[in-house]
Formats: sequence, structure tokens, C-alpha cells
Amino acid sequence: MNFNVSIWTKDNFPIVEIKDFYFEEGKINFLFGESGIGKSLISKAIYGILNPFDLNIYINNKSYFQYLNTAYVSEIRKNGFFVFQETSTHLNPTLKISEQLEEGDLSEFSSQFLDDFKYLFYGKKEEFISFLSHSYPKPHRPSGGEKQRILASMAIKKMQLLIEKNSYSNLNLFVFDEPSGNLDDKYRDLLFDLIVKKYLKGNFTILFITHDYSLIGKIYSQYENLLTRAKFLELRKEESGLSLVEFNSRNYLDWLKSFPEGYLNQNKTDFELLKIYPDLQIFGRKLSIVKDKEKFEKKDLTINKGQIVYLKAESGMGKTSLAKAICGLIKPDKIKARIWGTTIDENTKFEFYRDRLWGKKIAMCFQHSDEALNLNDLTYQAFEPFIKNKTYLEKTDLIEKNLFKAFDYETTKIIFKRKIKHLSGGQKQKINLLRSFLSPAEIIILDEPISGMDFESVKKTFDIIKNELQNRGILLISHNEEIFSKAVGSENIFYLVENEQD
Amino acid sequence: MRVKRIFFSKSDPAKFWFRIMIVGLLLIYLWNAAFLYESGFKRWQAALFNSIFVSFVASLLSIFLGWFFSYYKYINEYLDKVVVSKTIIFFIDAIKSIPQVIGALTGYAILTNLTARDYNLSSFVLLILLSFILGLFLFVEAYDMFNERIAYYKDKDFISALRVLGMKESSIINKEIFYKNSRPYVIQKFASIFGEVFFLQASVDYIISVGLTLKTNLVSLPPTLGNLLARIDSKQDIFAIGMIFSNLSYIFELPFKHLQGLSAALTLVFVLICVYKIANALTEKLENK
Repeated sequence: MNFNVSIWTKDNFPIVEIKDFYFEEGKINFLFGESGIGKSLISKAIYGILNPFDLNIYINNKSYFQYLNTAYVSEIRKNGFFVFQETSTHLNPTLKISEQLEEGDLSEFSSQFLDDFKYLFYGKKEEFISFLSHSYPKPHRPSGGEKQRILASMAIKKMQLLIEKNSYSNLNLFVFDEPSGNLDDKYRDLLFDLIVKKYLKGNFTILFITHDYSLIGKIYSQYENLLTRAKFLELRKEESGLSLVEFNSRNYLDWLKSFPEGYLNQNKTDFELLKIYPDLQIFGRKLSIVKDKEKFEKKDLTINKGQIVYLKAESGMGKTSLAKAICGLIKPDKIKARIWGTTIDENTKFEFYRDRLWGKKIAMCFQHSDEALNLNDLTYQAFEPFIKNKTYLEKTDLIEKNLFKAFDYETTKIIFKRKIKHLSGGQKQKINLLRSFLSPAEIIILDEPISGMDFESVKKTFDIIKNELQNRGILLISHNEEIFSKAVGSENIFYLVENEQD
Repeated sequence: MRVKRIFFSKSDPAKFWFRIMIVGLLLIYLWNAAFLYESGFKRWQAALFNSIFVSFVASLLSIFLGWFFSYYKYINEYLDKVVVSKTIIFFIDAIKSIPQVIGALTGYAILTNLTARDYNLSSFVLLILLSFILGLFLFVEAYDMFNERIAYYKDKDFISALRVLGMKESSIINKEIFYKNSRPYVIQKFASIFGEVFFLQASVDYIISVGLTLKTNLVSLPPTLGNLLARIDSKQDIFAIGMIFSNLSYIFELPFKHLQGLSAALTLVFVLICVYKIANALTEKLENK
């Protein structure tokens, strides 16, 4: 199907315009692209779930009201499902999860569904599944990852019901908008496996919006039968506007092969910058840092100059909270760490962090660039306050040099005096990262540094991290396990797990 | 057509209503210049200027006090100075608990007392004092707005991200949040406080006009639209509107014979409508931003 999509605000300000958006029917279409570029918005518009009163929308030169009344929209809405990235858009806080799983057409009985649901929560006890299905999205608040699996399971149920009724056609469109954004590798794999199984049985049309390039590697290594039925697309923003191009999956695989395991840690020294002792308690939750998850082998997490350490954990375990606790941004119940030879614990006063550490010894790049950056700043203003004792020209020069690390000459000139809120998601994330590296701090914590980036930006960021490691130590938190596990090397990977033993 | 395009283009409703206000006031001015007797015309001009001046200064003061107390409370909470921050909260809550009209009336009572004691305060000083009294009871709205702005950014990683990069707390709050990210909110709040002061001042001026001491009379206080309305000749002008119920043709004589009271009332209502529209348009613009 080809679509000409044009979305404007009510004040006639263009938001998204693309003339050649398409996906292939009966195929599993992977849609990559920077965050904020319009992947979700275009998909929602095509699926017919945007409010025509909020925006001026035209699809294939029809007004949105006309488009919503076409047979195509009513068919795809009846025979498909849209899995929202932001689960609270769909999940009703006044319904129990079990009731939610039976909304509308989903109320029909499916003998297979319970097994599918349990599969998505593999490794969890029966009691937990029962508790979860009887709880409400709020106030119990299942974790972000649990909610994603619950919402995705609704789409899985719809697929299963169609399979059981043998009722599928080209109009069975299932859109999964970042369905694994909050999942660790284990649950992402389980979800993906289930989607593929249903897809292969039902020959549905799937639009899978994601930033997770490691799915490519997974398909090539584990789902070869899917290769002829998978389509990799990338939405790109160019000066001429948005365009959809075929993504060459081989580029990603070749790039991944191009560096050896532990590539980022080749210049590791013996100079210790940070040590975190393994027993922690944050927000009442007992946690441990372990080297081997299965053996529960506790170990100090040490970062030396030139070293990058990768901290993995299930979604919602508290990786970001631990990072904030180390930085003194939240008060943990129990922590012990050594930063530049000085021991800190839960009783360390914030004045110590403020006067001795922040921006001097330790800095952090936050996951959500939209929250971390001042969106009303012009790009250069994001850096300016952190450059001291320089003239305006020296500052400008330094900022430009910094931007050149991530952007080409032309782009740097264009974005230098552009408001940050008008940049793409990937550009914002790179600025967020560059700003952290502008700090003289030798310990940098990177929380999801490549989230929301397209492949070209991922490669650039990878080079920046490699370059910055010459003088620093980095603690990394990321869901992009395939890339970083290889680049960091297994000896530099630690796990944050729940401590149920002490 | 060009004039229509420049002055009455509706693409920005806030600017549109601001222009309407200016053009409307200009028309009232010209009408009064043509038909109102000279001393009445001078009184109306002074009243309009004083009312706008007081509203402007009081709104400015409210924004300043709101900014100051919000920041001062936050920084004391941040530095764990519980006594200071609780004292600020108590002080603000105490002001909030006093109805604005009561607060303003009490302030006016003090002002009237000062005037009655022959301190020879100039009109300018009296207007500034009026502005302070009104600003003191309205700044809590600006204070709440600034607190909401901090709370909004506290919920996100914004403050933490800047803090851990070594930015000072005062720069984060004052420069990054208040100055760079709250200007539209400040403008909107300024416009709405301006309207409130304008109305409150007129109401209080009118109310006290029946209760001044023997030593103080309306002449002792600078003219404002409120006390212009309270003058006996203005009251007669307003009452004259009732004449049209018995004699409809009298409606044509109102804008010529009873201009002082009518133009004071019209100016009040007209400015309030325009300010209300401007504040609404700014809010809408902000929400769609």
C-alpha cells in the first residue's frame, strides 16, 4: 500500500509530509528511523486513530474525515490491532488486566491465549501471573516492561483468534510501535518469537516500528525462513523533506562484524576511577551487582581510566536509579562506592556531591534528551554555560569543534543556531551526549546513549565513545545489548539483580 | 484594506485584542475630547492613566514577588533549611487566606489614614503605595505559577541533568527554568493579574468612596476610574441610563450629556474585556505551543 500523508497543525504548521510512505501487504515490515521523525504519527494516521479535530490531516489527497469513512480504514481497524508505544494510551486504569484482555472482539475464547500470555512472562511463577491479571494498570502499576507485554499480548490474542477462525486477509494490519522499548533482551526475544510464530501462521501484514537494529541480527541468525518475508525500511529526514527508503540490513551486520569483541576497552588502564560495592538498597529494594547471574556471584564494579563497563538488568530493576544514586541525585537506603579514592555512602551529604563531584569528577548523560535539554535553547546555548573563562569567539569555536564530532560541516552550520526543539530526536540525543563529554569529569554515566538514533547516528556515537574513552571511564546502561555486549566485552559486563538471598 | 490587515488580522488573537484595546481607547479619547467638558475630560484622562499605571506596577510587582518567593522557598528546601522554607509557606498561606478585597480595603484604610494625617504625600507616591497594596495580595498567583514551573521540571530529568554537569542551582531555576522556559507563562500571568488589579482597584475605589473620613475626600486621593465613577456627577450619569426606559429617544442624548460617568464605566468594562481576551489568547497560544 502506498500513502501520501500530510499532517499539519490547526494553525497550518506542517508536522509531517511524506509522498511515498508504504509497507508491503502480507509481509513483516520493520520501520527504522530516528525518534521524533514521525514514524508513530504516520502509522497512527494511516490506521485511522488520530483525532481529526486536533490536526489537519490529508491522506492520499483525501481529508481525514473522508479517509476515516473508507472501507480500508474500517477493515484494518476491525481485523487488526495497534500496539501503542505508550501503553497508558490504551490500558484502562479502571479495568483489571484480565478484563482488559477481553475488551471488544477479544472477549471470544481462545484456547491458546493463556499459554501465549504465560510465554511472554516466562520464568515468572503462576502466582505472579494470577496476581498480575487481577491487578489494575494503576495503582498497582505493573512495570513499563510488564505493561508492554500485556498490550502486545492483546494483539497476539487478536492474531490467534483470526487464526482459529481461519479468517485472515491482506487487511489484517498489525502495528507494533516500539513494542520492546522497555524490555530486556530475554523478554524482547520471547515477544518477537511469539509475533513471528503468529505471523507465519496467519500471513498477516505487520508494521514493526523499532530502533532496535539487533533484530536484524536475530532474524539472520534464528529466523532465516523470515528473510524473504521481512522488509527493512528506514524513514529519513533530509533537507528536501521526509522519505522512506529500503534499509540495507547487510550494512548493520557488516558493521557489527567490523570490530572485535571488547573493542571499546582496548586502552583500559589500571587507574581506578570508580568502584561500586555490590550490596545496595534503593527505594526499599535490595539489589546486588553480580558478574554471573546464574551463580549469583557478587562482585565489586570497578571502572578504570580508559574502561567502559556495561551494567545490564531487567527493565524496571533500577539501573537509572543506581546511576542517580551514585551521582548523589537521589538518596539511596544503602550504597557504598569509591569515587576518585573518596568513599561515599548513603550518609554522604549532597554538599559533597555539589562541591566536589558534579561536573568536576562525575557527569551523567540522561536517557531522554527531551527532558535533559532545554528545548528552547539554540543548539550552541546547550553547551555555553559549561564553558568557563573563554571569550565568545573561543566558546563558539569550541562548541563547533564539539559538534563536528557528531555532525558534518553542513549540518553543524545549520543546527548551530537552531532551536533544540526543532531538531530530530537523534540530533537531540547526540547533543545530549556531546554536552556530557564537554564536562571535564572523568567518570561519565551514559544512560541509553543510542536510544532513538538511526543507524548512521549509532555509528557516529560509537566512534565518539571510543574517542572519549582515552581520558575517561564510562558506566553504560543500555537496552541495545547486541552492539554493546560485543563492543564492551564479556569481562566488562555486570548485572544488577534483585537480592532475594540476604 | 491595508489598515484592516495590519490592525485587525486575527492570526494572533493576543495582538488582535491588544490593537482593539488601543483603537477603542483612542476612540473614547476622541469622543471625550469632542464632547466632554474640559475638567471632566482631564479627570477622565488622569483616571485612565492612573488606573493603568497602578495595574501595571502592581502586576510587575506581583511577578517580581512571585518569582522571588518561589525561588527563595525552593532554594531553602534544597539546602534543607526547613525553618525558613516553612516560614515562607506559612507567610504565603496567611496572605492566601485573606480575601483580596478585604486585603485591599485594609491597605486603603491605612492609606486613607496617612492622607488624613496631612503627610502631604504626592500623587505619585500614593499611586505607588496603592500598587504595592494591591500587588501584595495578588502576587500569590504568580508565586503559584512559578512553583508549578519548578514542579514541572522537577518531575523530569531536566534539573538533575544540569545539576550533575555542574550548573549552579540558582542558574538552573532563574535562568534555565524561569527566564528561558517560563516567559509565555509570565506574560500570560502578567496579563491576567493586570485585569484583576484593574477590576479590584475600581471596586475598592468605588466602595471606599462612601466611607472616607471627614478629613479625607475623593480629591485627596489620585483620580482612578473607580473613584471617578463614585463622584456624584458620574453616579447621576449612570442613573440617567434608567431614563431611557421611560423615554427611549433619550438614548441619543446619553453620549453627549452624561459622558463622564458613561465613559468611565465604558473604559472600565472595555479594558477588562480586552485584557481578559488577551490573557485567554496568550494561554491558548501557550497550550498549542
